[in-house]
Amino acid sequence: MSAYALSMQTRTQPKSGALTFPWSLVGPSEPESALGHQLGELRSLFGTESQRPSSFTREAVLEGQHIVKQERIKQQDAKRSNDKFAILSGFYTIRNPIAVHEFLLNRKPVFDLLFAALPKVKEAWGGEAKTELELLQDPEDESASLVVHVLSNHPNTYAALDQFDEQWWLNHIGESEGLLNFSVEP
Amino acid sequence: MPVKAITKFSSFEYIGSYADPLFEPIRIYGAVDPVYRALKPWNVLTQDVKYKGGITTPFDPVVSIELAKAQYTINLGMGGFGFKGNAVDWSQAPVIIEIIQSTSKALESALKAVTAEHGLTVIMQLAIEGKSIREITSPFASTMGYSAKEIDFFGFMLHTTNDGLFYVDKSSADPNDLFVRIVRKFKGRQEMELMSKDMYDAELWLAKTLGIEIE
Repeated sequence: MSAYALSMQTRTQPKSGALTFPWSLVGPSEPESALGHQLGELRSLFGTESQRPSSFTREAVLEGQHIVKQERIKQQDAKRSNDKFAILSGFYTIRNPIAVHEFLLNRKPVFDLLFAALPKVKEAWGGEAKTELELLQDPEDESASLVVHVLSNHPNTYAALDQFDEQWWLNHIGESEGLLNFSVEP
Repeated sequence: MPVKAITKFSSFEYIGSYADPLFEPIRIYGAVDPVYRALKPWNVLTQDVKYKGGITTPFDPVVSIELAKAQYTINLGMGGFGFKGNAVDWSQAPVIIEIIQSTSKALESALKAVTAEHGLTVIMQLAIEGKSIREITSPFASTMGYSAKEIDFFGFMLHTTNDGLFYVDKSSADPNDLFVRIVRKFKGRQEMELMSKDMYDAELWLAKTLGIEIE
């Protein structure tokens, strides 16, 4: 008998409805599958049944479950943040990506402004305009801010900057809390 | 007080269907050039254009164009065109709207095809902070005569008269999380911005109904 067949034999058959697609009407039973899932993660955190002291209280298990849940959310959060940053870096050339990513981690309004600014930049400087993002640090007061450098062949790039300021940026500058600036590089 | 719901996964899909399929893949190949040029401002590169094989229906993509480090995809088919984005949130809406509009304009002028129907779908996996999905959804089952202690989870599917759909279920990726799918459909000539606003309002309504605040 092949190893594959052996492993199939020893595996517990899933209960009806345990494996479902997100859109299926029948979902898995929450207590069963959730408990099994969490138990697995708790074991990896605290050891297996035989290694675990029998004096584990219910509170400790609940706290463990909470830690596992928080850890999972943190990991997922980090993945989402990486994906969002990948999207942003598809539209901006980022001069110092690690520093910029770190800077943006807990600054959602700045993240939002960077996405919102893109169509407005293209509107003012034309579709061929390129955008570069850089984190500038001020050594004097240890503050940092982002600068979007707009590179274009626009015949009057400073007039375009005025247009961009008047039509969009001045209405949103407050949301940046002084952490975002735009500059032109002809 | 709404409970925080952290988005673990999200995707957005737009499908624009032509009044009649074009039935000739060669016409789609001919439209790649204007679409590519229209997407130039969004940093599309030659290697982002993928020609697909195994087309069996007018709705299969003939050509796909990837953007934003492959998190966004534009699909061109004989029956219409589509946009798909992963890890999306509403901050990206201005960019996504521009990309869809630019593609639509380029296709309209290259193919002379009119987009007759529009479908927008948002999918999310939400982790609820401080409450279980049972607590969030069980009040909806009370009108059906079940007491709270009998209910494990109440998922639902709500169809609206304007072809909309709200679908709430347990997530298969993590049964402690909510799986949400919202579909909005429109007919005729439509502004992407207005359809997007409608979807945003639908999401807000669902969040308010569930008593959650989506982050």
